[in-house]
Amino acid sequence: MNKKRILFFTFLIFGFIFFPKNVFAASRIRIYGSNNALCATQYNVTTKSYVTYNGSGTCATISRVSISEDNAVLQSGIHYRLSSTLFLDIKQPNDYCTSDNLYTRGDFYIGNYTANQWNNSSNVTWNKVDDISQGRNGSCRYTWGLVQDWNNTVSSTGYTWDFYFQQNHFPTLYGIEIRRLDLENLTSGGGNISDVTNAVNNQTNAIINNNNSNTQNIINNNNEHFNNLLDPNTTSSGQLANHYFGNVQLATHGLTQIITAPIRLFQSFVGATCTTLTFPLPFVEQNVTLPCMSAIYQQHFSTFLYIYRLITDGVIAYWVCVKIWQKCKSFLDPTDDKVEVFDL
Amino acid sequence: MINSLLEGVFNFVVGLINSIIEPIDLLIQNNIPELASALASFGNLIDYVINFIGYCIDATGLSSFALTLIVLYLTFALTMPVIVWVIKVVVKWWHMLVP
Repeated sequence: MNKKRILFFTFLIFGFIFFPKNVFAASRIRIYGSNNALCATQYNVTTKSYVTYNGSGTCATISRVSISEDNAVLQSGIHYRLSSTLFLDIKQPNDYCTSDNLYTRGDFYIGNYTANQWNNSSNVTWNKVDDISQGRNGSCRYTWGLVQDWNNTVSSTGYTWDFYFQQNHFPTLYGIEIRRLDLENLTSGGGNISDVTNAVNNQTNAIINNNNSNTQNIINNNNEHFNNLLDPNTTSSGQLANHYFGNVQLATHGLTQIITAPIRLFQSFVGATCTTLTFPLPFVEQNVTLPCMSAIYQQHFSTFLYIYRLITDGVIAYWVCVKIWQKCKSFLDPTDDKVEVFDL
Repeated sequence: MINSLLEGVFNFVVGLINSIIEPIDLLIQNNIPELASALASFGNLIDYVINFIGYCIDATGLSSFALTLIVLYLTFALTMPVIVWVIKVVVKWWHMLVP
């Protein structure tokens, strides 16, 4: 390997090591009072460092905390995530350390902060107080974990993150601390986690839907087979057999009737449908009605009926195959000229 | 064509049976009416039995698949031998006619 290649790969490796995957930006925090700016508050924040405002004495009530950045490089087509942890030492008018009526909403703007031109804005609801503890000067320390995800559509140089308190419930500020103000480029970091999550969820849902569809098809097929098994109707086979025997005119008297009895029996067999039997009982002079048994089987012994029909189907199918094979084999016998009907 | 042939053969055979046995039936009916009544009773018995076939089939609990198989087999058993028999007769006549 020559020197040029060694140098190239050395710079490449260093480039990977030192290339900033996450974009961090210096920010500022503005704290607004209920009427005017509070205590000349403007605090530069260095990324990944703490900014701590130790209120000297009691400040006025505050209406809004604004975290802004006017020197950011927000590229178009990049998915960003801004996250931070915000600590506020405040006292509420009711002097209770609760999260009730603490704030109502937040706003998030993206654009040119200096020129006050915003490309995009969205309302954010930060209604979760992660922790409440003892703050400075008898105040309550509230901790918020703030996360904002967005797909940047227009190149921008700033953003601002506003945090409003509910009117008539403006708290008194005793201190503010912000940690971990991170602007992450999720696109260069391997893609948006939510996108990946959505893709995985979509794929999972597709698999589930596919499985559900396949399962439903299997259930439908099974139901169809099951219904076929339970269906006593022999219309199709009757039509097939009647094609051969339906038009045959059979005599209904004398020897002819006896000789053609098997065919008549067969005709009745293929077209038979169950009708309830009613017959009188001797001595008690009452009629007995026997319902069709298949309905009773299906109602009380459906599982056993299913198994029974599976077994009988198998046995009968085997029997039919064997008999057809035997009959075909007998056709090859030159001495065998039996014709079933005429053997009677 | 085969279906029509089968149907034609069946009609022919049944018609043949009817034409052969019909005179015998007439003889019995005219000369031995008691025997004719007995034969009629037998036929009536078959008719009576046929009335219960639907119920009996239903009571066996057999599936339509099994019944279809049975019907198809009976159809096969009642039709194929007829075809084979006809073919054998034709071949036999052919051998008789052709020296």
